[in-house]
Parts: sequence; structure tokens; C-alpha cells
Amino acid sequence: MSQNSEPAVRGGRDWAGAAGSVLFAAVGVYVFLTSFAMSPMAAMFPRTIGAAMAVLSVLQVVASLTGRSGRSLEAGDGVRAQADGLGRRLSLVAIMVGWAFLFPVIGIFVTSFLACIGLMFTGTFGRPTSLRLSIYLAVVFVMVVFFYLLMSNVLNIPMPRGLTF
Amino acid sequence: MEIDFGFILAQAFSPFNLALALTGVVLGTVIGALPGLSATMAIAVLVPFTFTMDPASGLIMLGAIYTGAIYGGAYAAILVNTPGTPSAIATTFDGYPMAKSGNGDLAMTLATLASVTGGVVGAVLLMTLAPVLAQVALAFHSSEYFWLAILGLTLVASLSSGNVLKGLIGASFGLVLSMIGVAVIGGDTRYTFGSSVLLGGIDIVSALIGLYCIPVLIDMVARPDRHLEPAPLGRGIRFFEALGHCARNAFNLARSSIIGTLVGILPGAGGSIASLVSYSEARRASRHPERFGKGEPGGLLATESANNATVGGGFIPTLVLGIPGTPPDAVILGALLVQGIRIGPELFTQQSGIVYVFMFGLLIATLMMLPVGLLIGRYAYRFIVNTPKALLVPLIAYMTVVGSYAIHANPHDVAIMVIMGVVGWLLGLAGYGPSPIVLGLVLGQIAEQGFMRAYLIGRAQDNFGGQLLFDRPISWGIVALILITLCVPIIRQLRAGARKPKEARP
Repeated sequence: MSQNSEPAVRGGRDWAGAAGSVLFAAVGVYVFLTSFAMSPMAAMFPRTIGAAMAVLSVLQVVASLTGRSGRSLEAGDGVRAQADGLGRRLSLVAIMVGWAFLFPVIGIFVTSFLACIGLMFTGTFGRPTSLRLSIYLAVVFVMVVFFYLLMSNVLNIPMPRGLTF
Repeated sequence: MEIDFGFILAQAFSPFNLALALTGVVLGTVIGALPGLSATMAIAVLVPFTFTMDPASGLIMLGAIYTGAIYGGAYAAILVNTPGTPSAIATTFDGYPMAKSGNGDLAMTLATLASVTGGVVGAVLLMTLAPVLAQVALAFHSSEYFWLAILGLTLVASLSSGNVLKGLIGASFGLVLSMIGVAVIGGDTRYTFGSSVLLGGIDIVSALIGLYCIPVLIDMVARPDRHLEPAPLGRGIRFFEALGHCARNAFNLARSSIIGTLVGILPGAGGSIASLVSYSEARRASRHPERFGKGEPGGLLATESANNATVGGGFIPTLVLGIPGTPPDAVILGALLVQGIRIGPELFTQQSGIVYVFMFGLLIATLMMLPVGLLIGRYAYRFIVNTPKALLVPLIAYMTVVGSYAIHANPHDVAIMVIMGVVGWLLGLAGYGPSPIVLGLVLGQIAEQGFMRAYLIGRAQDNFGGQLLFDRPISWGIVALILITLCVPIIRQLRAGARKPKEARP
């Protein structure tokens, strides 16, 4: 993640930070309130952490809306920088989500091969020659076969077969 | 019984045992480099093969795989910002920024040198002070574990410098995630929303693969530039430059290795706490704490030396007390029992031949990590730099999927990995980094368990304050470290603030 792609938010309003903090405040309140339905032993930690999270999040909302929110060392690129290549980013997310939820149903080998081809095209920039494309496809196929055999035959991990394999 | 060191050295340096140590280190390094594949898995798979070997040879191979796998975790952490194990979390803080800025070759060499140093310190302390140090494991009670977890959490303050509030909120969110499932004390089912999938909680390794790796993948596909800056041709592994960094950080390396060994002795604490505490201490003691998190070699040296020192440290309670400190120790303990070796203090007297051959073997395997690591590290960095994104993206994504699945052979772990990755990406948009969340998740259960046990014991004795802190000298020491870690940056900031107006005057 780049550290310098967006200026510090100090002085300007941090709308994304405020939105995130509202969400965290809601989570904190939920954790705090639901702790009252638990046994005293199990409730102590959630009640403390939930309350602290809600209070800190409200403070952050105020800081974000009044332009007092700093930029932490490890913060991501920010909304504006993430708009660059948004289509590709969303394609990757869609492929990963589909892969994770479909492989137990369809089978890990077939799903992984299809997902890897999808990701290969998502990570391709410019128009590759047909020779380069064939090489890429062959490498992806070998890679999927290699890890499948490593998992199933060497490490003896039962791979989900699903409808195919 | 007298120990025959001549016989022990001849056994440990036999060509067969040296070959086993080399094979173990290579296998361990490769397996540890793949996110999700752990030292436990590698050892468990290879344990049956060692039953046919001489007990000492089998143990040397298992020890070599273990130490190689812990070191191998640095590869994915430095080159793809993906800590495959919790012990490599802190390696990403400075390792990945170094790799991004074209210093991946130096980062790999530093990680190798630090791992060898930490591993050697851990192995030497295991050989020389094991029975004495084993008492440390017995001196640590629930309250000390609680304060140790809080010490790890203080790192949030330094990781989120610039916006500590967001760091604290992120850590709270991680703590909330750690509460999902059956409560460690009380047994209530918490925040599962009626789903049986969440009963076992969120798997830490799946979550950290997702939180660190998915945002990197999302960034990789967005831009056509290279994933990592390539090193100039002919620059090599920068061995002497790395040695110079090690010499300048000699005290940091020694301190981190000792912290790693001592934390490794504590059952259940493990490499994650060791590397986080060492990183925190290295940052606190540094003259340039502001460089940490941006590619500071001192941070990388601290974490890598500490996590490899836990290998030797973990064997201390395993061999002396029969209490395995980490899951790989537990598997090796099982292998020892199958071989007919009786664990306990008498192991060092009645069966000292086998145990000392094993310890020397571990030391040799750790030293072998130097040439093996430098060689593999060089090619791993070149591979990641030169592979086109069209192949690198599916390769990394596939490793994250099969790696998350392999942890428990459970498809739900893959779903959790992807969901946590997308959540981490969205939170990154709002300025929330992944590390505070991961710290909360990793340390949450240790903190809650330690605190609640201290509370229960204290309430039964009608002395909660005493049980938690006042009657426990080790806790005083850890609390003092927490206060120093939190106060030193504030004092430095105040001093800098006071100096600036004076400097501004003509």
C-alpha cells in the first residue's frame, strides 16, 4: 500500500473515516448490548471492549468531521487512489468471492482452474500475442495441477470434489 | 551418567544426519514460504518416515523442518505482504516496505541472518540452560499471560502513529473478532448469529492471510507497474551490507533473540507474541523510531531473530517438563514418545546421548539455514520481481485459497479468508490498517483467558488486585515495560516540541 498516494486528511473532512467509524460505533454498541444476555464470566470482556469501541468510534467520527483526523502509518490508499483501476479491482473481488463459495459445490480443481484463468486475464495489461497467451494458459494449468497434487497426494489433504473434481 | 561429547559430535556430524538436516531445512523453508502451510503440518506429514530411522536422526530431521518452516514464513511476509503464520506478522511491517522500495534482496538477506542468529541463540540456551529456564514456564501464571498480551497490544500505538484513535478502534474490532465462537471462560456461544460455522471462531491464519494478502492482490491488478521494484543487475545478495546492519543492530539482535527464547518457553505464547514484543522493544530503544514501519532494517532483524529463537525456547518445556509450548512441539513430543524416549529432567541424564545429538543437530540445521536461505531467498525475490502479473496474481490467489483450506481441510476457512480480505480492503479505504485488527485477533483470546482466570482465582482468594498485579513481581516487570513503551514516544514528542521553538530562534 502506498504511503504517499493521498495527502493527510488533517484540515479536510475525512468522510470515509467517518463512515467507517459509524460502522464501528454500531458494532461496539451491538457487542455491548448483547453482552447483557450472556453469563457474567463470558460477558465481562465483550462489555468492556464493546463500550470502549463505541466511545472511541464516536470520538473518531467527531475528529473526521471536524478535520482533525490524522493519517495513520499503515492506512490504505484512500478512496480517490482506489478509483484507479476500479473495474479490475472489483473483478478480482468477484472472482475471489465466487471461487471461495463455489469450490465446495463444483470441485476445487475445476473452480480453481477457471478462477485462475479469470485472474490471469484480470492481471493482463495490453493485448498479449496468441503465443504468450498460450504460454500463460499452460503455466496456469501446470500450476493448478501441481498444487492440487501436492495437497492431495503429498500432504494427504482431502480435496473437496463437489460435482466435478 | 557421564556425557560423551566426542560420541555426540560424531553422531551429529555424521554424513547421514547432515544430509537429513539439510533436507529438513530445505523442505521446511519451502513449506513455510507457502501461506497457510505450517510447520505443524510439515512435521506431522513427515513424522511416520522418522519412525524407521534412528531416534536421534529422526529428531534432527523434525527439528530442521521446524526451524526451516519458521524461517520460511519470512518469504511470503517480505515479498507479498502475507504472513503465512502469526509469527511472521511483524515481519511484514518493515520487510514489505523494503521489498516495495527495491530492497527486497537486502530484506531477504537480513531475514536469513537474523533467523540464523535467533535460532543459534535459542539452540545454545536450550543446550546449556534448559533445566533452569524450564522453571520460567512454571513461574508464569494467568495474570502474566494477560499482561504479556497487553504488551503485544501496545504495538498498536506505534503502528498507528498519525492516528492512534483509528489504531485503537481497529484493535478493538480485532478483539471483538476474537470473541466469536464459544467463550474461553463461561462457555457461552458469542456472536455466531446461529451459524455452526462460526462456533469454532475465526481461524487466525485464514484471517491474517485475507487481511494482508487480498488488499495486495487488489492493488496488484489495478496498475500495470511491477509488483516489486527490481534490484539493479549484478547487485547480488548484499551480504556484507546486511552484515553491517547486523553489526549496528548487535544489541537489538541479542535482545530480540533472548526475548524470543524466553517467550518461546511459555506454553501457548509462541512466535507471534515473541516477534511483536521484540519489534516493540526495538522501536522503543531505537534512535529513529519514526523509521519503523517504513522499511527499517532494525525492525526486520528484531522480528526474525525473535521468531526463530522461539524454536529452541519451545523445546525447553517440551523436553524438560513434557509441556509442549507450540503445536509443532506437541507433534515432536508425540514422535519422542513413540521412539520410547522418556520426557522429563532425567532425559538430560539417563538418555543424554539422544537429546544432545538432537540439540547439536538443531544447531547444525540452524547454521545450514544461512547458505540455504541466501540461495533460496535470492531466487524467490527474482522470481517474484520477474514473473508477469498475469501469472503472479493467479499464483498468489491460488496459494491463499489452498493454503487457507489446508489449515483444517475446511472450505469455510477459505470463505472467512476472502471475507476478511474484502473487509480489510474496505477498511483500508477508511484509513484503518490491517495490523491493529490482526493484533487484537491474535492476542484477544490470550488476554481474555489470562484476565478471566486471574479474576476467578482472585475472587476465590478475595484478592483480585493481588492476583492480577500487586502480588506478582513478574507482572510488575511486564507492566513497567508497557508503561515505558507507551510513555517513551510521548516524552520524545514533548522534548521535540520543546526543542523546535528554540531551534527556530536566530
